[in-house]
Amino acid sequence: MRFQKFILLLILLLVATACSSNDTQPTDTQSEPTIPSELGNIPAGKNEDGTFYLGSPSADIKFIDYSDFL
Amino acid sequence: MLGTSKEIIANHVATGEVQMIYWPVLDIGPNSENAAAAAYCAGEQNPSAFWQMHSWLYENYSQTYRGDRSYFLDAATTNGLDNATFATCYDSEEIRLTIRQQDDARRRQGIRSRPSFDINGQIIAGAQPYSTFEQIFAEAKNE
Repeated sequence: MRFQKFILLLILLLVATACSSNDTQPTDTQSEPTIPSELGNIPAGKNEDGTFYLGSPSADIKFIDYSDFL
Repeated sequence: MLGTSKEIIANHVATGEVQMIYWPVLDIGPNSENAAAAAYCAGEQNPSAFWQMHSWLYENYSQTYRGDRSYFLDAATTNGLDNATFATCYDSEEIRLTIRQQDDARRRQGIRSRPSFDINGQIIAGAQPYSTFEQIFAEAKNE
């Protein structure tokens, strides 16, 4: 009788674990990129030469930053 | 450029006074190109994501210097990008050819220092404090 209770508890534990792991699986791996607050609603785009810009295309000052990330 | 770029974005780009353009410089080994590819592939999904990745790579520059492919793919995840699309772009020769062509164009223009800046045609070589940029922007506005 004690062995049957043990088996029953084991089965319940396995079922509970399986349900729990299903709950934590992501349902959607795609999301919109989170834009940092400093970028806000600043216009951003890609130029014809393939470079990326940030700021109004009609801005008085064009600032080209020649650099790398290292 | 991390500190100054944040100030320039907040005080001059967000106001509509300045438009910032990033131009890649490939001078420090393969991760110069890999980091640029990561930013460009973010931008292919959303141009604002380019600037998000731009900030993230600067903020993590010491790891970016040593990062391998999985580091850059993880960066895409961290920044909320579509991983599969990012990986396809990151591994593509097309995006890397674009970056190399831009770097070649930079060399042909005689821009050798890293970093350098072109402000309405005025070339500034080497890192500068924010106050220098403020002064140049003020002068450019008065021209």
